[in-house]
Amino acid sequence: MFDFGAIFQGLGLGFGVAAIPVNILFCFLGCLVGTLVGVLPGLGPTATIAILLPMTMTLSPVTGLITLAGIYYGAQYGGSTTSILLRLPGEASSVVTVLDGHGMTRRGRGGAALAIAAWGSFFAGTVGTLFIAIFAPLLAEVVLKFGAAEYFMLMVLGLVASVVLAQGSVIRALAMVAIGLLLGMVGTDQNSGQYRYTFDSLELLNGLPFVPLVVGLFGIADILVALEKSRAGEEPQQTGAIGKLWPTRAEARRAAPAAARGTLIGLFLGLMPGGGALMSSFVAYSLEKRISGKTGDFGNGDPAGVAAPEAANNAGAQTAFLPLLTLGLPSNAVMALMTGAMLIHGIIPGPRIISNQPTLFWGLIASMWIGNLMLLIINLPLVGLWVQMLKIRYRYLYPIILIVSLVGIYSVEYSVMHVYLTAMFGILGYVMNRWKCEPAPLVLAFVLGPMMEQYFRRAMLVSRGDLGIFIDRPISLFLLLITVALLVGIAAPHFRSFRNKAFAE
Amino acid sequence: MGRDRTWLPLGISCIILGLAAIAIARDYPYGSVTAMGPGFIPTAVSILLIFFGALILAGRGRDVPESADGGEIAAPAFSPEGPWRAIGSITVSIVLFGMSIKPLGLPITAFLVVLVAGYAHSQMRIWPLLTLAVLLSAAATLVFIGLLGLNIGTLPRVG
Repeated sequence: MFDFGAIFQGLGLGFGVAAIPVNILFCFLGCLVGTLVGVLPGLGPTATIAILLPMTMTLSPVTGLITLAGIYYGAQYGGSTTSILLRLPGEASSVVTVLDGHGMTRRGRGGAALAIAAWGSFFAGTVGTLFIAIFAPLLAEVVLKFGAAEYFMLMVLGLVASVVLAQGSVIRALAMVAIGLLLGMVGTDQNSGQYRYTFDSLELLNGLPFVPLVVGLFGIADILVALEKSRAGEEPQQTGAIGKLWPTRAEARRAAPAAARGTLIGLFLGLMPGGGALMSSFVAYSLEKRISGKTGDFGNGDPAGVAAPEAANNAGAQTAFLPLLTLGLPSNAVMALMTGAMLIHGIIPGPRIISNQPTLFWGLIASMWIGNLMLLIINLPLVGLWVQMLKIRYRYLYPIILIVSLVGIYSVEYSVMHVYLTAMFGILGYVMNRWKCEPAPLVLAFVLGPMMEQYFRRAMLVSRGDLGIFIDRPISLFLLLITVALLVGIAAPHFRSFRNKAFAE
Repeated sequence: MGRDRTWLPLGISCIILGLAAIAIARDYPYGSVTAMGPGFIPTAVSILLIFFGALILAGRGRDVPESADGGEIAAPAFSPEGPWRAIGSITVSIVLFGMSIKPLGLPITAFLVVLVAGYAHSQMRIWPLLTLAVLLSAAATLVFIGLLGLNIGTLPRVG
């Protein structure tokens, strides 16, 4: 079943690619800049990647994606750092880390908590990388047999699942999916050459550009929302003492098995569309809570409560790449950004990547591991520096973010029009935030829309217009049934109350 | 505590957007189910959007948890505390960037953009802002043109 020879050969090829100086350098820079921006108040991984995306456009595809992956890990790690030291989760998936992480900081064990988070993440990252290396070629083989009908149903399932399994109102997320699909149709229709929704603009003939869309929705909208929140006045953050960066033997003994359990949970939940990393850290935390029972001081600075969710969300962050690299299906906003980056480089994510672009595929996998290693080596010693970053007041920060974003957008195609589009999508993102709509489903649909339309039209061509093709083919029927089950499930009161409880934390 | 009140503008916007998208798509050949024209899918997706908009209206805000203010902004929109100050100055600063980057070059553009964007924050003082604008303008020029070699002008174009 597994072709280990090919996997080792592939990993060898990958490390050969990832280890050339340029790629090591950019992996390093990506991790560094990702952490730097990730620790800044109010900037989560998605916004960080969106803002820095244009900067990677001038690089070669492999180097660009390696840099982006580095930024992603760095930003995630930055989020953990602020949760542990400041009770400020940089992203939803490190919310549970706050409880025990900051608990350790209050006892003067903040340094140990950071080290446990870093080691746990590194362990989870290593296992996650191996997991992808083993299962990706296998899964890609299966998917290669898919026809247009199966592909279409797979994407529908991916979209619906990412809506149902994520937080927030399902119906609003579905409306955002529809808007994302419509935005994805702007440009020239591939089959007929008809211009759609271009409003006579020459620059829109190739479709709405991706970078202004995501920088506007995630970056600029973030600034607008943060400015509004900062009205109440702001004080620079007070950090707790970091203490020694080395866990005691007892702490390590407590953390190690928790990290292993968290990794296992993260591996599988990370594959789920939607809140993969979020769900995995939450589930891992509640499992540890159950295991430790009432005896320990769980919730007040237990190393297990740091190790498990951190390992889980890192393993989840890792395996989220699997559906993208094998099915071409981005499962969350960050993966949608990766898809966009690939498409701009002319790479179509999907099962053919492994055979057609082996250097890219294996290079990216190898650099995932190198990126995790770098976080451990460079970030732990630099924690003091990151903490200093937190003292910057937001009023001096957002102009910097704005200038970096704008120059980045402009430099992709030196198009002034892209700058104006960014302003437009920034306002749209702000309004969406006000109206409690998540931007992630919109971006996912925007990325998947054009492909879905092609597959749907091809399937209709094959079946001569008979919608029954989606039911007649067994794999397609199976995917359809899961989709329907998810939609029915969300309407059922029992599941809905469970979901509300799960995201209440 | 109040139930969410954002459902009304949201639902109506979805329906208007869907109707507009259908109206525009009427100009595209519809085709048949076997050989779909470019107008088929846009129309279908627009109908879905209208349907979701109607569902949001029907839900009357029960689909999101209650919040203290029902999702409405406490301060009047155009007061200094309202959202328009931030939205206005950030948007103007972005448009300003677009208009001046080609004729004026990066250093002057960055300086102006920071000045305008700085107005978005109510606690910004003039001297720190001017310092920030000068520093950022210099740093951006150094990094983006000097280091990364982006093809952006440094000085205003003459003539």
